[in-house]
Amino acid sequence: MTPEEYFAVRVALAALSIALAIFLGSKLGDLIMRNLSRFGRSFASKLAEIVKYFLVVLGAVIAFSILSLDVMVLTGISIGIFIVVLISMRDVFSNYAGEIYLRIRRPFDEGDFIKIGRISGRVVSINSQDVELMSVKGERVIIPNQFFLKYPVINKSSATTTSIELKVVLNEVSPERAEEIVMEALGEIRPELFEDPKIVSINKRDGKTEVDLLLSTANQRKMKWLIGRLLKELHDRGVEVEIE
Amino acid sequence: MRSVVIGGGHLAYFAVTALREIDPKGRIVVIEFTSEKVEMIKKTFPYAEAVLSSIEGVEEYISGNRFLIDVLVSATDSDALNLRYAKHSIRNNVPIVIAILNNPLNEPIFVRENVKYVVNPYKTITSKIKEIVGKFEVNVIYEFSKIDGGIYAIKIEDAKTLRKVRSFILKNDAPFFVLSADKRIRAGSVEDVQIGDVVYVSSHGREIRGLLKKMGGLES
Amino acid sequence: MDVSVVFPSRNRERHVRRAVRTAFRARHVKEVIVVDGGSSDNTIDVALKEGAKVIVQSNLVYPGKGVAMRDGAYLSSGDIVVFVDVDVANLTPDFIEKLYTPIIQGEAEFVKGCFERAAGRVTELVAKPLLRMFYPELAKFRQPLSGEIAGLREVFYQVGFESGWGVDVGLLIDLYEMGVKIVEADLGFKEHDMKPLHALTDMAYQVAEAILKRAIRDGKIDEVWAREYISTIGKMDLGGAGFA
Repeated sequence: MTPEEYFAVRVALAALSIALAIFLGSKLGDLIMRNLSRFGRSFASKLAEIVKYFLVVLGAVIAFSILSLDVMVLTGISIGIFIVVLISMRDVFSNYAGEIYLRIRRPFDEGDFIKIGRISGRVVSINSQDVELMSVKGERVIIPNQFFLKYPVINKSSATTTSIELKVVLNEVSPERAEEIVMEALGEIRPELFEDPKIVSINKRDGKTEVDLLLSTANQRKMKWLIGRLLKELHDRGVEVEIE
Repeated sequence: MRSVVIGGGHLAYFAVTALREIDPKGRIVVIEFTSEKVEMIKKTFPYAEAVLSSIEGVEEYISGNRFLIDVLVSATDSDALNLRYAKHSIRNNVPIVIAILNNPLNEPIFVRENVKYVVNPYKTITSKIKEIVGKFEVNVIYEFSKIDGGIYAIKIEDAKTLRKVRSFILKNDAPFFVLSADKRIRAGSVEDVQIGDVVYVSSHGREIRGLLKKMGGLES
Repeated sequence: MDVSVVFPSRNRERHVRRAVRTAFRARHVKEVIVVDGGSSDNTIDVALKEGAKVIVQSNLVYPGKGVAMRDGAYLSSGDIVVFVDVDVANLTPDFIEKLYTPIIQGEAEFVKGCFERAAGRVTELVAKPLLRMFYPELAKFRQPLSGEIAGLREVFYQVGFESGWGVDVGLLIDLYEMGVKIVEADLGFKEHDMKPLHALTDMAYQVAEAILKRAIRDGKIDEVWAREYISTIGKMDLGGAGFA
């Protein structure tokens, strides 16, 4: 074989190694997408991309070596780029890790009402980098996924009902009369409650009668309205009342 | 609780009856689109409030009352409307939104649109017929709405199936009971399960799906 | 004003991709809806992949065109709803735009498409004679049974939809009686598979029934005679077994 033919063979082999790397990268990428999509589609696609590019770089390194070119510089540059990318994208990778956590652990689903820190809202979508909420005021709130790895989240949709304890303080009313009045007033708002309200205790203190109540509703946003209605019903029955 | 049912027909009838049973003191509002149907609702459900509305008026009603509605059931005779109202209610943060299907083929479409609670009244037909005829490998008896799981009946036709089922129950510590060939219902240990028995096992979907697929009993 | 395009469809996997893509290319179109009639092929998957909204019609009756149209109208959110057959071989964006342009221009609230094609047998032998008898003002429409229609969404919400083949003529009569502004739009030529003769028996019966029911409702005909006539037609075997 002449040196030219030998060189041509090596060029062909180098090209073949790159082509094989691209082919394997694509096949492996598809395999990753098929098997890891359940952990998050975008996470799976990013991982598939990383694997593809890694194989392409490997193919290039092998091609360089077949052509007897100096691979050390290429290898060094690749490693350097990889490290810089890793460092600069650590938040991005944290968010991806957050998405994996959310997909595996499923602390909430789209449509659930959650609270994280002081932020409450209904989950609109769970994405690769963040979770989108719609707050009760109708504002769009975007929370990076990495926060779900660090802070506790309360899923308010996992419980069917929300309960609230109220203390109704009636002035100048006996405990027996207080119970009667409160039960009448509660009867008016009962159709809006999830279940029968409970009078937990009735106490007389400093001339005032305190009635502890437990109310429950499925729609927690209703609580303020319910308390307002209860106050109105009590006022209509001619009693001075405070609610705590 | 305040429940709103959209629709006054066949499906809505059962929804209203169920809500009444759940909370006899609660407030039930039934919305329909024609005055004849509203009159019929008033006669059929004297304890409910019947409201006449237009197609788009329902969405205005939901938006206007979104802080007060606890449960919304969309039970019209159109799955398109049921999907539309369910999505609107979810956007308005109604806590519990239930859609009742007219056509079971729409179930995956509703699920894809993030309607969490979809009632397919026809699932019972398949499982009942299988149970009555008695020819099945796997029969899905009941699927939970709030978690991925349910109750599944597996007929032990041969030693291979018996081994698979015993292994599944032991590995997952799955609760089960047995309906034996002589029609006795019994609980007991997994060693007592025999060929000819039907094992009713309850499990999470992710645990049992593999077993059911291998036995060819789970459809898509 | 934005437009929703609705394609009632059953086992039309071959046509739906092109139909949906064509519809999205028409101006003002905000959404395309495919209402599936219980296809056993991949109509639904193909439609979803093309970005259409899909729903299966609420009742799997045959023919379920009216159910499909009703569901399509209910699912739509555009100001104007357009109904087009999914298997029109020469469908273009222009074909679709011609249907709703009069509405956008304020010239109509409901548009009936008409086109040059081989004479519709049920149209010429059943629909037009009956319309001439009872609704002569509507006999001027060249294609009263045309499934290519457009209208303001609010207009569709005020009428009922026949479940079978009588839906198109039923809508025309009902909207006319309501005083809705109706025009006919020339769509050019329509390439479309035509049903064989034996399959037209059911269609002819349902079209006749839709017209006669409305004639009874509107006091244009003796009710007793008409009901007996309808029931007699229903028992006649005109040699067709229905279209499978």
